[in-house]
Amino acid sequence: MINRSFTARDAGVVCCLECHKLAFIQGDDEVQKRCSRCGAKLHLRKPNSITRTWAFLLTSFIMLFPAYLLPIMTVTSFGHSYPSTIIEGIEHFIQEGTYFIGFLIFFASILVPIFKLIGITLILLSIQRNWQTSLRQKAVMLRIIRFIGRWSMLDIFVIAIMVALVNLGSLTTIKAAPAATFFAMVVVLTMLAATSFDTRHLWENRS
Amino acid sequence: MTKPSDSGMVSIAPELRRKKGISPIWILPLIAVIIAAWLVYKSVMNAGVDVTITFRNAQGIEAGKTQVIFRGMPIGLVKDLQIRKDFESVDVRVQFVKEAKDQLKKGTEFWKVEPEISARGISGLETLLKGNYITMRPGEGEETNHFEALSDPPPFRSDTPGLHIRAFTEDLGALKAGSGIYYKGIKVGEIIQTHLDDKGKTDLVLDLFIQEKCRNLVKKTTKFFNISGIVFEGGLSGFTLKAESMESLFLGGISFLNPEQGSKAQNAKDDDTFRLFKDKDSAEQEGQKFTVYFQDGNGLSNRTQVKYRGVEVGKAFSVELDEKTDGVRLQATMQQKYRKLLRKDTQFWVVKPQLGLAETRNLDTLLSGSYLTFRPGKGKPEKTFKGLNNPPGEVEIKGGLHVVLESERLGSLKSGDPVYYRQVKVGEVTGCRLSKDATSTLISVDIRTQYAPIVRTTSRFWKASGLNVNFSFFSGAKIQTESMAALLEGGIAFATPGASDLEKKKEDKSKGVVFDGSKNSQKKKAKPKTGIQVSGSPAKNGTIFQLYSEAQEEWLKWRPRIALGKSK
Repeated sequence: MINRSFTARDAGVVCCLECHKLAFIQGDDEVQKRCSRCGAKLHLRKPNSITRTWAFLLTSFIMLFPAYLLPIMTVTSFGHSYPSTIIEGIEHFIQEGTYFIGFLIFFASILVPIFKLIGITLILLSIQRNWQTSLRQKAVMLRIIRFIGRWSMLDIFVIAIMVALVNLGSLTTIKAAPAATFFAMVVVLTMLAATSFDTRHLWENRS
Repeated sequence: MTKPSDSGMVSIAPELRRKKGISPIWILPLIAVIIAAWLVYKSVMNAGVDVTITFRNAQGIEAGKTQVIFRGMPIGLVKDLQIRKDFESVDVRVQFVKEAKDQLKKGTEFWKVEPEISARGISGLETLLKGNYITMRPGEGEETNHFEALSDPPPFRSDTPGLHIRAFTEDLGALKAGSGIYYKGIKVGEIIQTHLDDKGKTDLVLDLFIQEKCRNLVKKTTKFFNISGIVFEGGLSGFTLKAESMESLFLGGISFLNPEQGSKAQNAKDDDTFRLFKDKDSAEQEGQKFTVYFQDGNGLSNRTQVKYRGVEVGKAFSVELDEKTDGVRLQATMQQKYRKLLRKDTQFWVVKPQLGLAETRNLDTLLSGSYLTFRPGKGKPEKTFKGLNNPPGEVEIKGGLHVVLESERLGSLKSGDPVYYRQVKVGEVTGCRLSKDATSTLISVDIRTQYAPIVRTTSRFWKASGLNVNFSFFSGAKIQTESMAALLEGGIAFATPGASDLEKKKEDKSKGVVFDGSKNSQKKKAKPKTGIQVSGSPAKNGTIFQLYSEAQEEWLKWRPRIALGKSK
């Protein structure tokens, strides 16, 4: 088990986060020095990783409410505006019978952001509370979160394309409503949260 | 531990880690909190007012879509619909913006705006695409959150600046909501709505709207009239065909005129009421309304003119059966300036065309229609009269001499028959009736003022009707008649003797000689007596004369000198 508990820090080596060049360090803590190759600051771990992740996470959590409660898209058809929230849009698709699109939007716009938020929260908590169980699954989960993060933008893409396509003058126009901004912020913030998290924290307290 | 040397390696002296404060990254959640708080604050501040509006029929109202639009601006949204337990009406819950809260008072009226496609155009087109919407008119009263919607738009769109007035009419004709109001051909307003009188009378009410800039054109005395359709006027004097603009021809329209020129008259105010006249003529002739009850309405129509001495002074506007009097009720107006003629005891009758062998009278009425004429009374002003179906008898023509003739039989005499003096028409028969004991007939005769002095107490009256055939063995047949008119139609003639004539007559009588008419007349011509004084005294009103069935020869010879009165 020595292999697993023996870290770069133990070896007195630090890896440049930019160009991945190794450098030797003295002492245990993070060093204030620069990479000899690319000049980036050297850190043993991503600086303030957990704090930042928390901040992004909380921000996106707060943003989630306006994103879901406010209308995300306004369809103006024949002079009458029909604003709809994400959930109303999904309802609409389900009622129309286009279950696939309805489910897709439900998955990308509701399940994934919430899954990401919960997942990252879980990981952060497991580090701070030193929950050592099923770390591997948590690592897998983090990878999934990082992978699907970009796909949450699907909703925004759909709106962007719709706004561009459906512009029939006074007949029908579609405009993005305030929730689109908040939703995009949620997606971006959760992605930031996922990337600002240093995975190595997961294994740090492992004995 | 060995440290592999590296060319890029610098000193690796450890540095003390600074004690970290709060990471600046926490600004992010802080901003998020602020945004969220602002959103919450905004939604709380903008939280609308929920009210319930009860509709009889909620057709076209959709939850989440139908808006309440006031002055073109959405101020509320229908949140949901719920049918009442009694299934009689629908409760519509509407959320209003908070600014509307102060306006939601008890008297507020709500109604649906629906698309309307009619000849005058399309209104509410936006509702075709957007769906119906609800609109409102703020009212007064306490604040409340439950309203009853109107089933139809309210009569007035008070929110549009301009003059809102009402006009009453009995027949709408082609007029309907949207018909224009024109002043000298320029459209200045329109009919907002037409509906029955609130009180359930027969009158129809038109709600009129006059544009703000034109409101000074409407005075308190302004008269509105219908200009719908084509006016065809025909008379002996010519024909005219009038039509206002094409728009008013097809859609109906109203125009108005101001009888009082200048700024003398007060401007009309909102909610003033006016009468809508059928046409321009009746508007110009508007005046005192009066009612005449007739036995039958023959010859009467609601276009019947009212004439006095041949001058049009008014016009009938309605003729209908009247159950109370079992007759016909004619309503007419008398021009304002002639209103004084309407007094108690005024007698109305209908002048109809008369086609006779001898005389065709009132030919003009053949084309212009019968008209109503009257003989003014002397009582107090009055508005209800009894009409006569024939010209009245026994009524003095104003200023004329009125005498009564007594005869055994009426013969062919009738009202209107002329009275001749030397074959000049000096008066006419105004009526015939039986005497009270039915032993004779009484014929009322009016002699024109001018000729009144001719009638003396000694005057003789005879029937000029028909032929007077004298057949005598010596002189042969002699046919005597008054004028042709009198021959064919009948009439009355009279003669007034001179003072000397009567004496002579006495002589003649004493002699017992029967005169030969032709001889006698020749004699008269030979030496005309010009200076003969008239006999008797001037006849007074109501004097009764005997009506002879034929003239005695000598009467025809009487030629007294009489000063005529001044003709009026």
